[in-house]
Amino acid sequence: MEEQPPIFKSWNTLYWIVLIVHAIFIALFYLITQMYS
Amino acid sequence: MNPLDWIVMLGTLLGIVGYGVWKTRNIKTTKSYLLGDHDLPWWTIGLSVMATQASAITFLSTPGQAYQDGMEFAQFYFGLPVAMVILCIFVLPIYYQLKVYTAYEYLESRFGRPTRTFTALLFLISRGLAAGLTIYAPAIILSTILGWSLNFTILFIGILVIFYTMAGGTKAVSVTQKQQMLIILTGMVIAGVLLVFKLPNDIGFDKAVKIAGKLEKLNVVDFSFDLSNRYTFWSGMLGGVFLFLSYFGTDQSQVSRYLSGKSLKESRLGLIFNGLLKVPMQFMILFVGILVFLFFQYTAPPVHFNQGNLDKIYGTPQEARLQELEDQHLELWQTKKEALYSLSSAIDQSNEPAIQQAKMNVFELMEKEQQVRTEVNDLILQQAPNAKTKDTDYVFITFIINYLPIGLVGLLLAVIFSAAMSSTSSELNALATTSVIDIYRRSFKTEASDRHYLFASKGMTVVWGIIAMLFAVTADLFENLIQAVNIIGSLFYGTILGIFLVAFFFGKKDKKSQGLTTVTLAIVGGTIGLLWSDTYSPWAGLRGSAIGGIVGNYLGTRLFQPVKGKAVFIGAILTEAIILLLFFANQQGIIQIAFLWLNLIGCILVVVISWVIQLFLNNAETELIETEPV
Repeated sequence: MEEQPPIFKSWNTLYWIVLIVHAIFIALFYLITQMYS
Repeated sequence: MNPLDWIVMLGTLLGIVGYGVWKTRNIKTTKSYLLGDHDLPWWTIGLSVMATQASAITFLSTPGQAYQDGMEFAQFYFGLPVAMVILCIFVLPIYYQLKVYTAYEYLESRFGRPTRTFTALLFLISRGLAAGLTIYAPAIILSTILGWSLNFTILFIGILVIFYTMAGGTKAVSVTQKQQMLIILTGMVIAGVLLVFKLPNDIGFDKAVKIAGKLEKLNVVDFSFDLSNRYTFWSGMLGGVFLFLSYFGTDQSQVSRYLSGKSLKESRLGLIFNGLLKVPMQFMILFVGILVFLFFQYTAPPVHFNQGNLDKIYGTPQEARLQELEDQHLELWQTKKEALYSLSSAIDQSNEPAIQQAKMNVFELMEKEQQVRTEVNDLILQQAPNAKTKDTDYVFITFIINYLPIGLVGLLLAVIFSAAMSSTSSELNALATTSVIDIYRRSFKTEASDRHYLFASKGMTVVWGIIAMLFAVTADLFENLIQAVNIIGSLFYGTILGIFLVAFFFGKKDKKSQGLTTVTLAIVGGTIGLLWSDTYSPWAGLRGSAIGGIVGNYLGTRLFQPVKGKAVFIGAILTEAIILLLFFANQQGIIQIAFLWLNLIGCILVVVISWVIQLFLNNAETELIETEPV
């Protein structure tokens, strides 16, 4: 039986969170590029 | 250097080494030495994975790269979190299930010994060379600062790393990396904060960042699709994903980090930790480079950052010309500083035409500065034709040595040494593990005592350490150190990843796809049969359906066969030859392709070529003699 992650209900949810956080980072970087150029 | 800096630096380094040796003094078996005791929690794995990747090169070259080209290099890491998720889903469970020592051990169970050995050899070549560069980078700094010879410095660093890696194996690597990452992150944050405080009072952080933006240093994301452009969103997301899948999934220096975890859960969390922190960390390091750039807009920079190169001109007839160029450079800097103040007030007033005008002035002055710097480079080359004039790797260290307070210089030097030691120790440990497990114990000495293999592992750690030092002694500082390491990686990683992808995804007969092809072609055949008969006769439909089904079944069984040992072995060799050809064609200017794409191309080529070869080979012939992996 596969162990559950310590946060969130499943590993898939955790993976989605990682990808969403990454997308937010890229969006922020894009905003920085646009804002300061 | 001040005695306090010496105490801080040596105290930090020797303290970490001593701690590592003491913590691993009871290691008595090959398994403990190479795999640890499977007791590492996720945060240690995460820090260890990060420390392995972040070498001294990262902390020397990256700020220099930001100083020169801005923040665009951050895109290189965009594929990393995606790669971490893919590895957690598909790769980690397989490694844990098979209880392997090395990633290449798994390949033998799929393809036989030749493919395992070939892949292990690709790893040994690429990682062996990279280990040399990992030692070389901090050595050039130390030799410049302390006035030691480069060779002596390489020996000094190499012996220190070999000592604790040889003594404690993989566990020594992990426990020291935890301390080293702590020092590294603390040092970089302190450097960043100090740089902010060193900006002129009338400029401040906010305005300085706006100026950097106007000077095109804060262009982090570039969505243009240009194969020849080294760093774009696409090269990072596509090429980068493949590079990181290969690096973290198949490079033993990383695989051994997470295989020493307490459980599959801890290893997964360690990789996720890396996936979440790596991109912001790289952004921070690049931003430190931007702050150094801003600092040197308001504090006169040297005309050339590598003092060692300038020393070659002093005392020669060219010295007078160098002095003239230095004066010109200083004058240009002063004029540029005034132009930057004009830019700053134009930004304050949000006066767009004035901003554009001031920008143009600054760029023009920067170009003149560059011309002076190019002339200095020519002078250096006249005196020393073999000298390397690219000085971006010296930018950050010049700031550290000349502008940080006493004590912090020692700490920041400890950061660079820690980074070098952490990544080198992982590499030496992985090289030794692969040499002993995948080559020596598999092909040369299959039956021996555990003590013998433990001794062999320690011996191989020393041997690889010596090879790395020899390579470091002969290494050339080409365009940029960090790029050199990545280029070496890109030549081999695509092929290695392709082999693993075939192993993971082309392993079993895909009966579902075979059946689907049969049914689809039966339906298509039946429809064609019906449409072609004038009377829409059901017999014609049935005939067409039968023919379609037979053809579909034939094609399905051919197309969805598992790819086997001989096909993948030939595919991998052909791919590596093509990748090397592409690289040399690129070097000669025959084609234009950024090196990151080689990962993707290599990976796709292995999969496609192996699959095509499999189609043409008789299944019985392709089956290599499978042997039990040792």
